[in-house]
Amino acid sequence: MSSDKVTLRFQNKAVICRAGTSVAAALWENGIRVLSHSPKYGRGRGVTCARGQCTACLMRIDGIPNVRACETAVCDGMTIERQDTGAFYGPVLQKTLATADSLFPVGFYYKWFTRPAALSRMFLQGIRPLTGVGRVPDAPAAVRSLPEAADPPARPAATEDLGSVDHIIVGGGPAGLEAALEADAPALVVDDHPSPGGQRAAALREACEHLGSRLQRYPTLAAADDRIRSLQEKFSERRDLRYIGHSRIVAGYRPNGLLLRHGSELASVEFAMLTWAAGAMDVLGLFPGNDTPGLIGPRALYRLLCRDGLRVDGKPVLVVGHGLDLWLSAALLSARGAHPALVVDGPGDQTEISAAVDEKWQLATGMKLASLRTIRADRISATLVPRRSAPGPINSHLELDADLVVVCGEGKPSFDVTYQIGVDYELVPQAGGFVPTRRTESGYRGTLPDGAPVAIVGEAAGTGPQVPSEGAPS
Amino acid sequence: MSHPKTFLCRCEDVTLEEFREAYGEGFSELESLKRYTGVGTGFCQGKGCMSEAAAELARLRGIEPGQIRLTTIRPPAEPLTFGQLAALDEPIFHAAQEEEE
Repeated sequence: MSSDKVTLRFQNKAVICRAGTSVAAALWENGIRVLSHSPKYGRGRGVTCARGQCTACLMRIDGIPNVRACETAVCDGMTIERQDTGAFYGPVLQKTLATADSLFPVGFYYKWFTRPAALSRMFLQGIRPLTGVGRVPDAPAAVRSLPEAADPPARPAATEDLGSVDHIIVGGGPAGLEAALEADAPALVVDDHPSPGGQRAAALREACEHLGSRLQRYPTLAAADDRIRSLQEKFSERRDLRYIGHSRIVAGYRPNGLLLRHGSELASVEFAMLTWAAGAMDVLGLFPGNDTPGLIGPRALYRLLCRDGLRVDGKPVLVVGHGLDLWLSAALLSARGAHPALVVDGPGDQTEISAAVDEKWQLATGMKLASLRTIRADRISATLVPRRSAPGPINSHLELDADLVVVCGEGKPSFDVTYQIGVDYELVPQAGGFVPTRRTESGYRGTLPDGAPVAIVGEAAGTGPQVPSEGAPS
Repeated sequence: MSHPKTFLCRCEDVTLEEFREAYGEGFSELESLKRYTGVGTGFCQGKGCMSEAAAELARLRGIEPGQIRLTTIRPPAEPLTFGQLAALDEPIFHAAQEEEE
């Protein structure tokens, strides 16, 4: 066996995959999309956020439960199991559950099922043990240390001297780098990417190189790439700014504490000033079948393609949405030899639409995603319907099959940690979700309950992926 | 083949229909809906669903989205092992406890 291949054991079967990728991507390339089954309905779930934020890819890896397959690097001899009812009770019961599910009407609400009382009791007794999501780890001797992260830190822990910092900037994307460059005192930038630039940097670079001279037809891509490159350059010139990659803030504690994970090691950090530039999460939308394995957002796509090298060549991929992420996803997929079919669901994007026609990408406008269903282990069927407000003649609905469906819209601002330490949030659906109250177009500036200054900038403030002056429509 | 369901909360498997039914039963606050349906109580602590749930509730009640109050989001934001937590030199948890009513 050559050294660029490794063998995994998935559900007791050997699976051969490329070295240097994540467990989720390795299984994907072997046609295994279902990484877990959901707790109540036993629905198959696949990699969804690809950055350790959701539950869909929690697996039992080398005997340790609740390990994220999207964040774990493959290694030879690794044992991977699904940790759901299927793993507990075997495929027969799993099938029975799936059959039982089809007998319940859509909208069946189990808490309504109170009569007849005896039947209800039986039902609840049966259903409760099935909702477990894990088994305790194997006997301690059998448990190795935590599997290696998909993107392991290059140096050993750089967190020893952290204890307290003056100015911590969470997020090394354009908003975080801009905040660092504007700061007049030394600042520390932490991010989970190994180097500054954020979630889109690698994808933008590759997409722009692929488009070459055609790039001028995609002004949003060119502008975003220019902006990130110039910020990266300026950032690298500043000696007083420090960057720590492979780091994520996993909790916030009042008055001014953060729990930081660097690789697999935790460190507590106290800050005098906090700038939150942690970006946004993918929003997949509410429609029937919105948990279909193979449905992801653009941020997950960048991760899977740029970090894990997921192979998509020759595959049909449906990209639905609007704005920067739609065009970036399409260009990146095209660079990797996939066949993107684009559905533009929003207004605007006229320049890019005409360019996409020349690019020979399949294109539909004025449609939106209505439902998804799995038709084969590795194939999804999507139903698209006309947007109500679409001008022109009403198209009938459209059925498209794809390996992968990417939904690109406004991201959902990251808010959990800043909310935990006392920032007030309000729901503004147009901004993608919960955003800080009393924010302005350039973000939010305020003080925490104990007086520490906090700023929330960029996509985390709901100002969209573009430069702030273009985002935040009033 | 299972029915196409629309999932509001993927961690806890709460569908949009269930959320609406729970509202119909009289649960009209995000806090009580969270406790009753389980929406936002999974591993992701609502990162994936709370804004959708809140927007749906605002629609059901016919009120401005800004009037919906966010529920508590408990740390940690991702699964950690006891070993990782035990290895911390300086726990900062006491500070959080005082603040949590």
